[in-house]
Amino acid sequence: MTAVAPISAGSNGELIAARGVTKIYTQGKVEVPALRGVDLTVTSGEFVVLAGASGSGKSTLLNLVGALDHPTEGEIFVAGRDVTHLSRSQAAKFRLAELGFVFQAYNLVPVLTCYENAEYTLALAGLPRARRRALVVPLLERVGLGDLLDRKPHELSGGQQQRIAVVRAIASRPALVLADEPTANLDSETSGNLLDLMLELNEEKGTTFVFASHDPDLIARARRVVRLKDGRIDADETR
Amino acid sequence: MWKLAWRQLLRNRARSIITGTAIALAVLLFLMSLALGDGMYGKMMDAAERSAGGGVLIHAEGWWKTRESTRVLLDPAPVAAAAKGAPGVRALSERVVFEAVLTSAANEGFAAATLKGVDPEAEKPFNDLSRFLVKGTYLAGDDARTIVLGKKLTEDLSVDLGDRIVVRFTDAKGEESQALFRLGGVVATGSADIDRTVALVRLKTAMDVTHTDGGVTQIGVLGAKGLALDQLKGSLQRALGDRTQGLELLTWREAMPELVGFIEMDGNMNILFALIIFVVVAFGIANTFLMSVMERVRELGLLSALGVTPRRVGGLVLRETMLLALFAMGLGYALALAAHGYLSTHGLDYAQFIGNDFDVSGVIMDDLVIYTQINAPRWIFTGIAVFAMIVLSALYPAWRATRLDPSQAMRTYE
Ligand SMILES: Nc1ncnc2c1ncn2[C@@H]1O[C@H](COP(=O)(O)OP(=O)(O)O)[C@@H](O)[C@H]1O
Ligand SMILES: [Mg+2]
Repeated sequence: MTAVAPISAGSNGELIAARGVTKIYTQGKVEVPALRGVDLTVTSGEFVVLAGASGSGKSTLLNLVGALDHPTEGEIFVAGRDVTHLSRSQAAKFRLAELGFVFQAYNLVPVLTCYENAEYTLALAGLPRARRRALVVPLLERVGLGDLLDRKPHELSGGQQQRIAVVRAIASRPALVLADEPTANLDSETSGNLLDLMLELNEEKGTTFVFASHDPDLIARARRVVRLKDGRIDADETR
Repeated sequence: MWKLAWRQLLRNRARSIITGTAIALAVLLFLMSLALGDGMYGKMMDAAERSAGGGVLIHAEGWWKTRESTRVLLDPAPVAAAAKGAPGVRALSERVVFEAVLTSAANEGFAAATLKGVDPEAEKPFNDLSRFLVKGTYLAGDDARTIVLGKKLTEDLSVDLGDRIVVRFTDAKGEESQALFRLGGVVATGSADIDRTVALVRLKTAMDVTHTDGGVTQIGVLGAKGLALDQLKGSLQRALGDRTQGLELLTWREAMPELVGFIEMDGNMNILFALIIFVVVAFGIANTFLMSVMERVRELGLLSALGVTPRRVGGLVLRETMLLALFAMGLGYALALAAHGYLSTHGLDYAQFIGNDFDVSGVIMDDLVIYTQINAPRWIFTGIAVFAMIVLSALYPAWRATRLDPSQAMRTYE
């Protein structure tokens, strides 16, 4: 299955290649430009933080890269695939095969247990039960949730829920994990731990992360920071 | 996906129970109206058959249509004997039937009636009117000229037991004729039609006074229980062979198509009524599931973001509906079977609902206690149709679920 295939990359090592990306939302008669001509290239194995004030366009950019929405203009290639012209169904299949997502909140399916949530995308991809267990349980143990496999999401803390989301996002060894303010609802210690976890996974397994945040503490710890301002890239620094 | 659908139903337990109960009750009502309808149908058909004078009626050719007094079945004995020997024949009765005008020997006034000469013993399995005797005796005693009249008829003629009645008719030779009888008994069947027209005398006497020379007008034949009328008719035709020359054999359904139509229409009304219940329930279901989709915009959006295709998101909603439908319908069928278990033996007395003045053009119903009957193919077809209807009603909510925009669903507004 593609879901566990080795990380696939674009022809020249570019995992994300976005050119001239513009997104204009229309609310009734009002046009809200959320992105105005963004160019961004991310190579495989990077850990990138999208920084910027609230409303600067971070979520919009992540959604476009994640094929959750179509840009108004411009083109985006992810893992060598043009994601700007996918149908809903193609986009869903693409996400399942290539991407992992962690959102700010509501990451888990309420009626599934901790373990079932973590293995959800693997089950969707059709992996046999034993194989899913072998992949997911060590990861859950790794993030300190080994004892809580059968809990329901509402019985877990916010930090625990986000860790399950991270496990789910990386379990299928996707080319790219997109995380939209995954720590926004956590206290600083918990969010620090979650960031540590993602950095470790990035280094150990080479998973590429693109991470949106406006938390200065977290931004300070990233190697590459792309700053957005009013829908444009204001700065792109690698430290 | 089934697991998810199942848990989803359990999560919204209250709603699932309410919707499920509505489905189960609608199924129960629907099946019971079918079972009662079938019971009622069977009962009415049965009553109609007996009131008509048998499942198959044998006359001289053309009598049924024309009612001409001269069309007499001469020499009935060999016909009756052959018919009696036909397979599937349960009972047989010979009758003489003449349209007549009655007057009282003492009073003014007259009334039209149907003069029937019958053998009370032979009539027992048919429409045994002795059950409804309210006065006097039922063609018993020494007097060959005893007559039994319907209650309305005695009122119209202002006659009482022992009074003399003059009966005028066109006899079997086509001559105007008359005969004198003495009122020996009065019947009140509850059917106005019958009580106003029935005039019964002994078969032998009737044959004499109408000059049939030993002939009769009608031989009524009852088939074994459950034997189809056409089969009974076929059996009689084979048994009679050449004797059918100059005779007509009519099933009562052929003889009285309007009555059949009426009874069947009654059954269709029942189904129509139940159908309306179902359309209402279907709208309720559509609404419930639409609500449940709208409440879960985020959750379904999450599934989509994780890579569940729109088809499968819609499929999830349909699965929830199907699971609920299956359980609720199972419950509905179980309840219906339980109700049937009771009503098929104890019966349901319709008289409580519609009173006793139930009268279908001359059909006598002894009572209105209906015993439910299960028509298996109809129950199965109903199940499939109801299931299909529920799934159909969930199509729109499911379609809405496929249209959810994952980027909007997952947005968090600060
Ligand atoms: N569905 C939408 N309709 C209209 N405007 C939107 C919509 N989504 C986002 N926006 C606007 O687009 C801009 C960028 O939003 P967003 O990408 O959510 O920023 P961020 O994630 O950096 O806070 C904001 O001005 C926001 O109000
Ligand atoms: Mg945002």
